[in-house]
Amino acid sequence: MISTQTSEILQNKNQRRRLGILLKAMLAIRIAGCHHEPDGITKDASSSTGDVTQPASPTDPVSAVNETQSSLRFEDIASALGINHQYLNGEESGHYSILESLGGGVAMIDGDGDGLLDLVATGGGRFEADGTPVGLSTGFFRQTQGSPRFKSVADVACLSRASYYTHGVHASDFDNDGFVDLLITGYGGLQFFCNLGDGTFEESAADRGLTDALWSSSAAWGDFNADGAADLYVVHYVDWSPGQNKECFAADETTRDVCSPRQFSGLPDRLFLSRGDGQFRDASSDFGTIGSSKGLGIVTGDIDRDGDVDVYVTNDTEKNCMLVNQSNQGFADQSESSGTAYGDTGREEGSMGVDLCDFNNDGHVDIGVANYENETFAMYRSFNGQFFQHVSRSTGIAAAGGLSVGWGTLFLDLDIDGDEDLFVANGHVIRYPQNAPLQQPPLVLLNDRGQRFSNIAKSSGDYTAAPHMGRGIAAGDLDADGDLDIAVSCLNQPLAILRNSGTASGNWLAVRLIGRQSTRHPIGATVEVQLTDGTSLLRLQKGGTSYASTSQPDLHFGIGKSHAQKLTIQWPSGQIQTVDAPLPNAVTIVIESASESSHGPQ
Amino acid sequence: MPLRILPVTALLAFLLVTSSIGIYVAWQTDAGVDVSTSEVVKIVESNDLIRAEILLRDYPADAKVTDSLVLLRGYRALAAGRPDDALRYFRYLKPEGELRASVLRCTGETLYKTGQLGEAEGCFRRILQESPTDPQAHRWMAAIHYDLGRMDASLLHLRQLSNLAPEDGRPHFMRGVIYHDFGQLSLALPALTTSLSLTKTSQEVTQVRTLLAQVQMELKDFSAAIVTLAGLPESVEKKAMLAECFWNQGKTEEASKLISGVDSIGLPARGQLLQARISLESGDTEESLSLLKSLILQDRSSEESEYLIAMVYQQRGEQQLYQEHLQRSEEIKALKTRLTELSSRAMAAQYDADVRLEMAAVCENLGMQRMADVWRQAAAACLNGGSPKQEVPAR
Repeated sequence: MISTQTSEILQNKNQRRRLGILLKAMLAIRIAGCHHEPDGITKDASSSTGDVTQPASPTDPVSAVNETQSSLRFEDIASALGINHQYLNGEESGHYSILESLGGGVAMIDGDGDGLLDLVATGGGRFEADGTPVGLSTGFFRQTQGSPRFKSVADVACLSRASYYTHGVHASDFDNDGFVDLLITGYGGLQFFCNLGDGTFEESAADRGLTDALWSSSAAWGDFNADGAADLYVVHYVDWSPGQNKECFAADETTRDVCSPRQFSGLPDRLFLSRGDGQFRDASSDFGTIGSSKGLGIVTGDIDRDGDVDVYVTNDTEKNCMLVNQSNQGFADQSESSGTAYGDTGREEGSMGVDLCDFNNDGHVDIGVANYENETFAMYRSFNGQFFQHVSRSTGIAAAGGLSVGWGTLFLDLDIDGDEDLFVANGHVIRYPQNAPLQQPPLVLLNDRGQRFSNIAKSSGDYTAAPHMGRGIAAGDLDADGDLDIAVSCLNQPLAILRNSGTASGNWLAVRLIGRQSTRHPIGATVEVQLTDGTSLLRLQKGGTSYASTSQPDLHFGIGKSHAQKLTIQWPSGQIQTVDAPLPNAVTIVIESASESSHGPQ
Repeated sequence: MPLRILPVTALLAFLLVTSSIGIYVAWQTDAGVDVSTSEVVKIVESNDLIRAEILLRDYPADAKVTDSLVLLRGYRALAAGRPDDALRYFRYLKPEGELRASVLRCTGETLYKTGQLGEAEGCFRRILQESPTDPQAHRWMAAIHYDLGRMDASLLHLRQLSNLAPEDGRPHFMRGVIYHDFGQLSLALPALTTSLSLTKTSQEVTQVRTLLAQVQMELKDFSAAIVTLAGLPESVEKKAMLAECFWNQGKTEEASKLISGVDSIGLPARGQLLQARISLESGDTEESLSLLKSLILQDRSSEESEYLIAMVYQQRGEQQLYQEHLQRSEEIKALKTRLTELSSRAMAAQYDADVRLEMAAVCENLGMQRMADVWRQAAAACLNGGSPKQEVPAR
């Protein structure tokens, strides 16, 4: 017999299988009718010896197919940069708590406004003898001009304090002062670090009304009511506490393991609307519908391209939640009607990482969701901006995803060819998985003109070829060389900084949006680039994304050998702004106003 | 469940072959046959239906009816596929003396084939008490436990059987079936691979290979599944599985090409579902809807088909129909979730008739009449079996 936990994890997929096969086997046994041969197979003395050819044995059950070669290379340069940080989950205490399974995130931000990207990574926690979780320090690594190494400044910046066991780090300039502020999610409460602009941060969650004692996994910013101030959507996971730490077992029924989320009730999400004065109010019950169960990932952005900020929440073993903003008046739950609530069989899935993109370059915003091992990573292709089709199989993502348990999920143009590729960090949640390995290599899926994705993880460097306990990821052009690098937070393993050192040689374009009527970090804005070859590319200013992480906000376009003719920016304020002939291979800074823009290399 | 079609078809074909053998031997004659207890035992134990037919044909009509004769007649009925007739003979027999083991074996098999699993279990348990290394008794015990939803016990007998008959691929296949049933794919894979290496006859190879490919597909190792499927003889089922592999690899054109030439009526359910999905993605909602409705007619417990129909209607903006089918999909999902819960309970409570009766009721609600009958039969076996009332301790 399999354990309750495993049974539940496998429930959705298995019940059809079990019913069908059980019936089949029973019938087989009965129909066989061969005396003394009750097995499903019958002996046929008259038939000749079968030509038994051995089937191909799978070499890698996690991602054995759709492997392709590429010139892209990723090299883990964390040590060389002087970045030495680990997210710890406290598993050594032997509590087998579900809290251990979520892991943490990483943020690529310019924390001091010097134009260079810095890194923030949550530290997780440990457990006291009685099982009480305790937070571990957040890491903050600052990049300085002229130095090849980052400097650990968490203590100096007053960012190291972790009042709670932490998970996500979500950055935005909430007060529009030009300095990026940080929200850290976790078990026990939220921590909000306001950037004082002098290189230090001040924790002020309670003072600002961000009081939330429920277990938060991740969060996302966005101006949901279009009042020019950033609001906050906080995703909660399950109702677990040290006092109700259930005993669960692995498939062998004797080995203790971490419990499935099915063992716990889900917690409702929470919406904090800004009062515009640096304070927030809990608007969970007066802004339409919000999500209600076992949330892990979130992305905010203009999903239906109607000018307001929508929300998509990924839930674990519950249906995912598509909250469509009704012209800034509140959210309407369109999860089921949009076709994005379930997997392609109509079943709830164990969803974690999430991101938005226009993968097939049709002008509609698509959604990518990383799921649990026996499910399929979902690519929901937008049909008309409101209805989505699950196209993971026909795009090769199903095969490439294998049995991965996916977390940090980002669409980004890794090879600078115009279409957005997909990077997913993987790693199991239980300690003794049966079908998929505990540690898993990431997926590096190259997008072939919006038609098909192929995994190049095995050939793109030692790090991506090797298995890890991946969790949150963030992307940004860390070395300012025009391609996107990736930071990967892992469970009980060093934070990795993957330098994109491929030989991709196309032109690129980065766009940095600075809102004025809209929030300074204008989540919900869209940017379209018209190229000289007649094509146009779409990028979104997003909140959340990946898993528990924040990427550099600059919008990155690979434009190959082409050149950009025009940028068209739709701001959350409703303004539409254009910029003619933005410079290639440079960051174009666009400030919201009638028609102001500025150009200049980073 | 599309996979169901292939092995059952193969087994039905095999059943026809054995029946033909029975008809063939019916007109064969031989003279001067003497029936002794030891010879009957030999015939039964070696499963020699031809010899049994010959003996019985020449047996004097006015001869004294002995236990050996009754056993022989019962065996003939059983081997000829008439277990109900066989049972009439075996009711007269007591498992005693030299005939003891053969009577128990034939009675057990007959009881099994007439659905009296609890009583059948008693027979084979008695054989194993006296000869614990009897491979056939282990084989039957594995089958009985499996039918009663006692997977651990079934696996135990299959393991013993593999030790007793290391060259036999069938216990490995059954283990593969069980592991697959419960999603333990990493265990199913080596069991089926071993079974394939030991399996000799083409029908068996087809059955093993088909399930192995299915497991590989569920492990998302579509490349390996394609290799496995390549060893199967051509069939629409093979085409459908191959097409599914290609589609999962993002090769929609290849997938379409494989199944487009097959009349949708001749296409197995999984092929029809694939065709419906491809049509839906390409925007052909009419074609998709037609295929999905046909699938619902074949299997009204498919929440996947109902869900996809809902999606088609949603795509077409037909809200009411969308809602209706989404709701039906949710209802089916809830029933299947309940069935899974009950299945877990049935595994823990191995002799609980109530849980099996509830499973039968849920199956009926799902339109799965045959499964309902199976579970009702299992419930009856629990009530009448006389099996030890031991339960797997609930965790």
